[in-house]
Amino acid sequence: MDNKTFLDTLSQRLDISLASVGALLESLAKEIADNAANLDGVVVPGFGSFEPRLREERVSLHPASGKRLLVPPRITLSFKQSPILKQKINS
Amino acid sequence: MDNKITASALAANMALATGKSRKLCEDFIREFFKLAGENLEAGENLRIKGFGSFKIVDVERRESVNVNTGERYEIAAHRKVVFTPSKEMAETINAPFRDFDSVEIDDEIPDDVLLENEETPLMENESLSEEDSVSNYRLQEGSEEEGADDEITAEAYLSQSPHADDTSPIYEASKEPAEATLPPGNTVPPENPSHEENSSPLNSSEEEITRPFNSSEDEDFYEPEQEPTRFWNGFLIGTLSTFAVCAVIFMLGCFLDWWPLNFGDPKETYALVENNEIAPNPEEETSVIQGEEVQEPEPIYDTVSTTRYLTTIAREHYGDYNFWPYIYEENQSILGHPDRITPGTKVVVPPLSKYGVDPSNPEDVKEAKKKGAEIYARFK
Repeated sequence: MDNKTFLDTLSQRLDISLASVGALLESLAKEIADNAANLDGVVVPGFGSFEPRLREERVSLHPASGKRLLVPPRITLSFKQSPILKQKINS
Repeated sequence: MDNKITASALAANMALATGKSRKLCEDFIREFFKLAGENLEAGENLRIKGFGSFKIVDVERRESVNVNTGERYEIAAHRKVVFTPSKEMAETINAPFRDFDSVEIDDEIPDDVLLENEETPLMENESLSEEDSVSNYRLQEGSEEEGADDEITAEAYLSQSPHADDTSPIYEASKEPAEATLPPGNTVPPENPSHEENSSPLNSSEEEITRPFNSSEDEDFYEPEQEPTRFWNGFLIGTLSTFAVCAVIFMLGCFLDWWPLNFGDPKETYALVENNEIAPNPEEETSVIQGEEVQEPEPIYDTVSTTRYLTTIAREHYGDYNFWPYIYEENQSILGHPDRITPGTKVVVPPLSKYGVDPSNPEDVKEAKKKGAEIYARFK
């Protein structure tokens, strides 16, 4: 299912306009991301959890020039599927 | 920080941000993930603009160990969902560190200052003090070998062709007394009258000398007849004579051009002849040569384990972990990816002089790092 079909289906099921779906989606993404920026995870029952991971700063070698680089810390978002979702996709 | 936000709390925040009703937000979240779940259940990947993509990935079966009981068990092949946030979302998530950039580090700054997390493997190594001392000893050995390079080459030259070098001195030595015994009868008496009394025992011992040198069966025949005390005396004299023979061989090697002159000196030849009387020479000769072979520089081996990597080995043997690429290059035929070496792999640790690099030279350290990066690049 591509992006458009997905949004269309959502708007049909919730009986709201596509524009509202777009606004809500944007808001949802921003909320999850803001929480992740504070290192707070978001749990969605029956689907899974979005957990931020803090990657510490490290020194690595530039693969081409061989120079040492100080790579800054960063936060990445990892997704952990719930057991229910796992069961569903493996059945 | 480190809190778990529930869907309802998320909906409350969304309602505040969008101005829509809280119920709608909750419905939206529920329907959103329900639909996504249905999609994934159907085996389809899902890409939502501004949010991210959910992808189904096959996981191969693998073995695992129960942490509590230590039992092995198998995790069957299965599928799992992998989420990758969209670019915009990833940027928002990383907002606290947005302004940071990767910085090139000046080469002058020592690694110890930068790599605080490198301390832990170092501590592990120090706990392996026994291995450390062994490898230090090896290191010292290695440096001594390098320092005494001239000696080594000379000895190595001798031991490289033990047979060729071996036979000729013996041949010369055996030839020497034989020839030496001849001239005293003719030339020595007029020249050196003081040694005349020696010439008679010399001549009488002539038969005994020639026999042990030419045929070993005769020696076997003689030895059992000797009394035990005489045997030990003979043994003592034998070892002494071996030293004498070694000295003579050495001198012959040094003054090969002069040797007819030396041979003309009766004192030396007499000493040689007297010492050779009871010497079990063939045996002693081989033992001496074996001793020389032992001093040949041996290749140093080390073993990779779960706590000892190429870098650990390089640090112990060379004093700088950056020089691991040289060990890797030396063992390239048996190694794959440098980070995935099977524990227990035995590697040759080459002397750094072979590659003409020096850990104390910053240029060489740079070169070694470049080499390491190249090795990693091969597996990209």
